[in-house]
Amino acid sequence: MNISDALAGMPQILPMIAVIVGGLVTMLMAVARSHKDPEHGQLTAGPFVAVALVSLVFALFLLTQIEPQAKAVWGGTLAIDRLSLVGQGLIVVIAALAISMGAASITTQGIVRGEYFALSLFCVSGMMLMVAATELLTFFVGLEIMSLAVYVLVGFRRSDRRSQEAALKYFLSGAFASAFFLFGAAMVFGATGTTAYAGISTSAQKLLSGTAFPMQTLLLVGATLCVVGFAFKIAAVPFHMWAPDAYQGAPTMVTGFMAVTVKAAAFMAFLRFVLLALGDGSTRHVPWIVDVLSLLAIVTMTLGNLSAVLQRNVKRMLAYSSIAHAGYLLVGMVGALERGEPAVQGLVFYLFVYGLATLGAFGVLIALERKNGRHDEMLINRFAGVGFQHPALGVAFAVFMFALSGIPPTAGFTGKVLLFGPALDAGHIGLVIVAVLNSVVSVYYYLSIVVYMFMKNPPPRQSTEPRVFSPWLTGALVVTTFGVLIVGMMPQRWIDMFAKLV
Amino acid sequence: MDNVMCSQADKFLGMVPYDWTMIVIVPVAKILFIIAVIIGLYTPLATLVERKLSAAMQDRIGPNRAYIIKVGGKPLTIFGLFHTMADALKMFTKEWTTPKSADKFLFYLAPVIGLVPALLTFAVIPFGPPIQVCDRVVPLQIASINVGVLFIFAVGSMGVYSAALAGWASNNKMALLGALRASAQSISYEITFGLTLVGLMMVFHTVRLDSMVAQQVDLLHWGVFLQPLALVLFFTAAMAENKRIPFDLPEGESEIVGYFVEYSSMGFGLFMTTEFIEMSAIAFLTTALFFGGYTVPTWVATDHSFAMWNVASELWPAAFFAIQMAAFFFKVTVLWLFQFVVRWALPRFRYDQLMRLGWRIMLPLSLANIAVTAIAILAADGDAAKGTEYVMMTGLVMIGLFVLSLFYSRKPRQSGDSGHGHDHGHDEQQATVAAAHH
Amino acid sequence: MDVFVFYAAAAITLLGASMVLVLANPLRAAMALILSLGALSVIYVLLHAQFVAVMQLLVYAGAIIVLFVFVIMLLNLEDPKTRRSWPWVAGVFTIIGGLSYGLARGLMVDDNQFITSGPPHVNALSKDYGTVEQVGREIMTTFVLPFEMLSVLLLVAVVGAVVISKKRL
Repeated sequence: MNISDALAGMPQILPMIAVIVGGLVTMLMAVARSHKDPEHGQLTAGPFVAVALVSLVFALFLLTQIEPQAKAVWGGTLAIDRLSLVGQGLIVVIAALAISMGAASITTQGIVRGEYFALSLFCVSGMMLMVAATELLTFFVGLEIMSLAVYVLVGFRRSDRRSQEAALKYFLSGAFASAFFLFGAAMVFGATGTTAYAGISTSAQKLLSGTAFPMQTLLLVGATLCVVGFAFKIAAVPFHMWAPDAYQGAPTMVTGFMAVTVKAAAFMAFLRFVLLALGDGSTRHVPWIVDVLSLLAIVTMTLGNLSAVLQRNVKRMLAYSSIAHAGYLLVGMVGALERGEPAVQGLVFYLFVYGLATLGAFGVLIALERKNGRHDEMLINRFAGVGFQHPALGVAFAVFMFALSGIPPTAGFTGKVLLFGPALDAGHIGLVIVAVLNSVVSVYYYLSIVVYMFMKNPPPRQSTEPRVFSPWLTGALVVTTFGVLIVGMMPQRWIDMFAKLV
Repeated sequence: MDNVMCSQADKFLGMVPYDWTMIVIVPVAKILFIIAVIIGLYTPLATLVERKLSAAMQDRIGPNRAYIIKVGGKPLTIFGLFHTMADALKMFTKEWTTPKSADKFLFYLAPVIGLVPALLTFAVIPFGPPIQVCDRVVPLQIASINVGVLFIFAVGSMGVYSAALAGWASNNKMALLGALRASAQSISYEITFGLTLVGLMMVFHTVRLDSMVAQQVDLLHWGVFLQPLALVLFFTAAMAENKRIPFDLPEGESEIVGYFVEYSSMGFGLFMTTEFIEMSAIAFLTTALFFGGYTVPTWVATDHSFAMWNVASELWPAAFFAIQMAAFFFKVTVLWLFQFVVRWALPRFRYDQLMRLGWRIMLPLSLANIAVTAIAILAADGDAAKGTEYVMMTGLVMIGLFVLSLFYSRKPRQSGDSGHGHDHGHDEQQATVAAAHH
Repeated sequence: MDVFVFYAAAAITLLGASMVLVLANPLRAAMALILSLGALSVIYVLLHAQFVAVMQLLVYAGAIIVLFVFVIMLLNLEDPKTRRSWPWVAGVFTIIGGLSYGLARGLMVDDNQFITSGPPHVNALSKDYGTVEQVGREIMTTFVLPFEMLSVLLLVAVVGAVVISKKRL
């Protein structure tokens, strides 16, 4: 193999390059601006958002132009099958929405730095690499690009101690997760002699079909450590400790961004690893992986939901809710391991729905945040009467809460049916019962906010602050709200989009 | 060697297993030779040269009184050569003091940690042509390892711990400041040190020093002509790593004395020895990398080899070998002396100047050197002769750029930008001062 | 010979690593870490990974630990007043050691097979495996994409560090 063979994959990474170029342009714009205006008093987000959106939309366009193929490119490091392309598209779309939402608070929350956009876009490129990687090293590079960018974004509000603390906590636990994954990857490489998923799969099949070979244990220990690394990133219990603090401390726009995109990217990469490295799409080589994931799913859902019930801080509550959702998604992954194709479809579809709803919820929080640039404790009583003061926001928030709890006619319902169905088919009845019970529990805390919004009177002293109108935020909220509703009411077209991923 | 001697030698060596000859005896002989040359010759001489050369440069006579015996009623001084012995004797016999609050273990460890990497550097530098002893070819290089020059970086980067540990273990503010400066300086210049050689690796297609030297048989293929800018940067960075004037901020005598302020007797002597050994290491390395190593140049280059020398080498191999060895050590000695000249000719940098030179001038230039070399090699498109030509031409251009950049950087900037740079220096100063006040 | 060197290097690696945990003086701990890393690079050489071995020394021992030392000196860390209690450390070591030993027993069906023969693909290695040339060729062909993406990673790290820590933006 020589360099020109490897470079033959150039067209397939053009979307990623488009995003990186967008990041570079915004970075340079930030530098240019900081020279012109040393005080940064009035940094307008408009041009930055425009550049970011252009690059993301262009990347999406390029993604649609790529013909999926089974063979990996770039020397077998990058997959361009449908899972990779659809996954990258999903991340790009969600990131575009998240970045638009952030535009409002960039001026109001005292985060007047253009680097926010550059880091977000680099982060997206890392996620795209993660999702498409079909080789451990490539995945790890993508993971680190994403993680480093997110650590910084979480600590972006430097004047705020909470933001700093969140960034530090996230960084430390994230470094642990990376170390776990890397150690596991080294062991897997030691056992199989390759880092490519296809090679690992072949090798694993050979190793694990035998009984007495010493490398078997090495492979299994390595695979377990890799799974632990993934579990950290998707915030599955017991590797979830960082999530509540990070979600709460981060600027709200960053919380929305990371709650959705990080989880989606990590899940799709996890899916690929479990399906294609520890199995070969239809069969799985590691026997206990289903049991481990089931256990993880049950613990994650239950603990996430029960903790969410206790929260008074809405951001923190949404953090636990996202942990709970990681549990649901793990149920889908169990289904995917048992049933393959239809479950993968359901899983990615649910990621899409979860993304829209969670992002929308955080969008509403951004709109409601105080404008003085200080950290805003988003306690639940602040939402009293908001439904009357800002009816549109209230209704939108209710829609997102319905979607997250899985109430029809929102997309959340369709998503959960598709997510839990295959696991039920495969005979994991207990698992699905736990999941459904958990969904019922979650209705309590999701709807309690809606109750506060529409059924309680605002505290008398609270003045209604003037809202800063941001076309970007409004547009993104409209898209997410109607997205959740339309996908819920006319699901078939959208479901088809995620068909035949593996 | 003739056959009789060979058979005798074989009979003698026959007593030990064959492998041991190549694995133990030959390497040990080479190591002993190098150590003899470095510690026995260059290092003691350095103390004398330092004094004599500075005296010559300052229009003085220098040390010339020490003697042991009188010959014909006059003291036999031999250009002050006995001062070397006196120095050594003084070092050994002085009182060894250790500060009460010092971290004893690290305090004693520090000078040793500096000495070892300095000596290890010589392990991969070829100091002579491969010689044929009976039926074996013995390369005059202690270890020809695959990673070659990277090994030198690896062990060279250990040297900084010497200063850091010394400064820390002494439990002395000034020593700590010196250690901080040493670490910062070492990190800053190590990058340039490494990057300059990347161009050389690209030109020679190898990282092995023996292979690099073997490719420099033709004068025009010497590293100095292929990578002139790299030579300038490499030599500067290497001298900065060695922390001698003009880069002696970590041991600024007039202000903080340095990381070895608490060391006396041979403890201090070891630091000094390390410094002198590093000077020879730089000379050895530069000779091997840029000045053709042991090869002897000739202008009558026909067909990229020199017919005359080839004939000579076949007719009288021993003499040819001697000439090559002499050539190597001549080059080494010239470069070695050059370092003394630099030390006595240039004033010390200010700390911000030092950092600016490292980060703003040398680092970008070394990167540019790599980029330009890559372009030249690419433009030659696999044609070796053309490649050499292109690389040499671009090398000259780079040298021009270097000189320009020096001129440019000398002008103090008046715009708001320079305020930025100033802030940096201020921050650093504050940081170090804060550390000292602790 | 190889086995002997391996055991020696492994012992030093473990010794250095445990000293990092036990030593109270931060600078001594850093030095112990260097010891551990250096011995580790010997193990890399035994594994035919010469390039990795040198990079281990160059990057970790030569650069990263220097930064550690730099930070230790800047912060002027004192010895902690309370020393770490030995029984606690010893207990942790015993547990970890026991687990590792159990794991190793699980790994080794035949006690000597693991070290002397190694996994099958290691024995089938070509002669220049792990050399600079081979690693370089792999990086520029098979792994060129992750290698180039590392530049994005570094850019993110640099931008992030400036954003997080620069006093006056």
